[in-house]
Amino acid sequence: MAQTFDVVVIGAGPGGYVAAIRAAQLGFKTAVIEREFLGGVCLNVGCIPSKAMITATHLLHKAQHNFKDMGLMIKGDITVDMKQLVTWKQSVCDKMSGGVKQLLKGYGVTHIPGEANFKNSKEITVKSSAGEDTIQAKYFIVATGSRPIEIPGFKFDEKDICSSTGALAFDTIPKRVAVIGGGYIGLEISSYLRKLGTEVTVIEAQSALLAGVVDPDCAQVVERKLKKAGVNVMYGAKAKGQKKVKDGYEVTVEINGKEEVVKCDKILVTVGRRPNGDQANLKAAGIAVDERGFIKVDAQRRTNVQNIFAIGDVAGQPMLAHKASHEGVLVAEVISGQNRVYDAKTVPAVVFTDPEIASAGMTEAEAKAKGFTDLLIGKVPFGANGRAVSMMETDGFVKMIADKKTHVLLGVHIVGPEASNLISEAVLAIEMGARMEDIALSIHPHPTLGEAMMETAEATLGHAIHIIQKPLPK
Amino acid sequence: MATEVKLPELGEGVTEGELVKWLVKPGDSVKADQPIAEVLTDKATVEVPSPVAGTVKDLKFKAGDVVKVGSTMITLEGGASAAASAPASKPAAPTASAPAPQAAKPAAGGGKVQDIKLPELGEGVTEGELVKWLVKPGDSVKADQAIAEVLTDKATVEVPTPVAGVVKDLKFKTGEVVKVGSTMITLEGGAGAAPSAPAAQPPAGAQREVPASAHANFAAAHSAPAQASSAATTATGIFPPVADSKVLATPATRRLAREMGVDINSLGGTGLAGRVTREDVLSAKGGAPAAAKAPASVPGMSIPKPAYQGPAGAAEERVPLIGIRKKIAENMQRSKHVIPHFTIMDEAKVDAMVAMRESLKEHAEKHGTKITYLPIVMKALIATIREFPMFNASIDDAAGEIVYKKYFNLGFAADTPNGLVVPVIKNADQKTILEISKEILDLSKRARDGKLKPDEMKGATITVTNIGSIGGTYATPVINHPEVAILGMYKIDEKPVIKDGQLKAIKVMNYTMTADHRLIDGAVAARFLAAFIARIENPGKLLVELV
Repeated sequence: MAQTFDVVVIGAGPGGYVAAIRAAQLGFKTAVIEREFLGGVCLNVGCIPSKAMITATHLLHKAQHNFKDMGLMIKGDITVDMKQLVTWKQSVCDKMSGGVKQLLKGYGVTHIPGEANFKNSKEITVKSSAGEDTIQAKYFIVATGSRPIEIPGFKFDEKDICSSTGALAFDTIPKRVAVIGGGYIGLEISSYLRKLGTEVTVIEAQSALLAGVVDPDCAQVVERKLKKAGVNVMYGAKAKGQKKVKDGYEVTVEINGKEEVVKCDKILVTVGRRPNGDQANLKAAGIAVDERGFIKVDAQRRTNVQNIFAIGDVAGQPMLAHKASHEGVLVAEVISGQNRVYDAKTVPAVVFTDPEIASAGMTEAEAKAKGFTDLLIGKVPFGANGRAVSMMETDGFVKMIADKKTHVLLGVHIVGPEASNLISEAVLAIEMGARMEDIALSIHPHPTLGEAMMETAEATLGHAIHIIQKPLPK
Repeated sequence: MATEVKLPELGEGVTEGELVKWLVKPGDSVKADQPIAEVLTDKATVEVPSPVAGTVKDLKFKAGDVVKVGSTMITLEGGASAAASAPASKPAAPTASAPAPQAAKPAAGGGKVQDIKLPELGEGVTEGELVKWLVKPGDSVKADQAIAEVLTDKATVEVPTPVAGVVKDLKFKTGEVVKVGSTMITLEGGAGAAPSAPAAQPPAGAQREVPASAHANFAAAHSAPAQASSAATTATGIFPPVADSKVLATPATRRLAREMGVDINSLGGTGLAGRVTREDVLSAKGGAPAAAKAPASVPGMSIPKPAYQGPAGAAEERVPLIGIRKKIAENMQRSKHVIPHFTIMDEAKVDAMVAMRESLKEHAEKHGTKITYLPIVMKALIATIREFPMFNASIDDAAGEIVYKKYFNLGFAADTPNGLVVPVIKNADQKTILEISKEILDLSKRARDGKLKPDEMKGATITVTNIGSIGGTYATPVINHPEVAILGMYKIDEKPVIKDGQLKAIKVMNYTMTADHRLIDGAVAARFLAAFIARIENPGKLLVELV
């Protein structure tokens, strides 16, 4: 006898578990199927563990570089116990994943471990070590996420040739790492590996890092700092293959038509992620998938099959955990009959490099493409911010873009300390349709990094206090 | 061929009705125009006719169900012939091929002439202006192809044809207003009609990336009882269309607009830098639908919708606020919202009126009726209005004008099992007291039976309410907007007075005049009530004033 639910969520990542909890809150009999781990990539092999590593290595870096200036003396060298670091990192993940388990239990969501495959639009099979079950539901939410893209010649073994998953589990500090792909995952890992002392070579096919991902001005700040820290970057470089040699690996790189060799112990491939639109036997339910592997959804995240929804990475760009969670809530509410659609004005993006990059809304180019011909642009460096100076973290700036006609905020790009936290104010301001005056006239506490937001709004209006702006507008 | 008979438009603003009674059963033969059901709307009970003849196949609702305008009520077999010839000027009877969302399948025509009707364009949209034809006679059209652009009060939408065929003729000219359900074009030879094509089309701007191959799934899934989705979406569209950064509004306002079915992109923002505010959305919902015609409309009005949450576990029962009760609620709220009410009260000595009525009883019975006080009061009211014409006026807020009415349509509040209704005695000044008496008896009875026609409850210029027959000394009745006054009459009582040193019992009756303080000053109302009571106390005065 098949189990029957109102709502079955496939995948317990930041989209899936949130959808399941909201559905349960709305009174649906809900199950969530997960083949690997609660919390998905984000909690287990993505956002959370990488942030744990970044936090630890950031402190290490401060101890090594700032303490002396601050008069904090350490006797002897600071050493890293990599096993303990990884153990601590894992404890953070376990805590978070355990929290999800508690929440699901607390809301009465049935957690079914196993791999789900559609039989038809009303039924799925769930395969686990315990065997195979059939589950029926009125509604399905597909939240199967994405996986790292593998490139030819670099098959993941997650020991030496790794995706982010393997890189986050190194239990010794690797001596030399070749990072293929200068996107945000590659650079986040490069940043902290370098701080641990690893020699890092980034092999990037384009002519800039984070190309097309963030505001180019912001990317430049990170690029400069990475290079200053000793990260080697190869541009216009294509990884052709690798071979095992006596003392590690040799990666063949084609650069300007010539071949070069990068010697390393570990290879990290971070060229992007692909949606899992080819999994869960979507075809059996008649779910349409586009040529890139994303499930086609409408503004309510409904697929072409009336009772099936899709959210998160598998439902389209941007592949970000917070977008998935937002969609999870949305879909549960749509199923409960509420008139909800996805109409967020902006999905913020954050890169946890050193310094952090965060953005919300449009870039200058996007604003122009959208017909905002006259823009107000203000930029205030963290060097002018008292809190940043006192933290010894003055690299970076806040940049705001507004419509000159209405002074309405269009986009905010931050590179610098705590950019990831500062961006929330920008998101709220954009969603609320704030004008530059709204931000400039809101009193920001002093001394904080947040003052840079107020100051930048003033800068767009031509009268920032802590930078010299000339000529003054009439 | 089976024909689906849908619930037609029942009157302006009426979107649904409660099925009171079936007048036919499966297997019955019905003629064209024969009533098939009684439906109670928030205005009246109406009989729904079948536009075509045929044999009843099945009934789609049970008595007590609420039926939306455009929903299929019954299917008829062998009723095809009349459908095509149904003239376009009969929007009240949308028939088989109306591509309303509820239509399961468009008629699969084999070389037959088919009417393509204007489908439902969105919640609350009943008509649209034809902006542009996208086809001309002789054109071949495919299923789902857009045939015309229609401008509604929410957005311009492309109207698709649900079936393929060759365009025979266009029924409207550009610029004309087309009602939902009206035939727009006729198609010949709809051989390519795809029965699996979904009947409902999304409003313009909604997502349409669903591949054709998926339609079968949609149709199949949609026919299954999807418990919750119908409120927010049709099979393929989302209403209102998703705001795509076109307007400035906060997330909460955007959500509110969707919940209220308001297309936020169609609103002009009144906030700073053109923001659409919460108030803009509320007033778009409150004012827009009525704005077009009714002089009674109140633009810019917003009615808050607070929630009620009882204590957990308390014994409560929730029933939908629909039908007459909903209409009363809306009307009362609108009236109190728009009109600053004030009430003046006084007492009339009615010995003379009582005596007069007693003396006329027999006469009235001879004429097959009986006389109550109400028609006498109405006559006194009319005579007093002639002195004070502002009591028979309306305020056209939209135009900023006072409308003085030269006719006297008197509403009277009738207590019915379904709730308060207000039938109207039209041109009461031209009718005798006997005639008015007869009319009151007739209207009251039909009001109680729920048989009043919408017309019989429209167009009052002033209303009289008689709660005195039940109890209470004085009340503050609510004005029936857009009227500006309501006269209350209460029960006749005996009261002791001292006259010429003698204790005497006289008969008294209380009256109240609730008036719109925007138009009527307190002193004027006091004078009005005094003049009215003078007539009540001396019915002879009425006689000499009769025109």
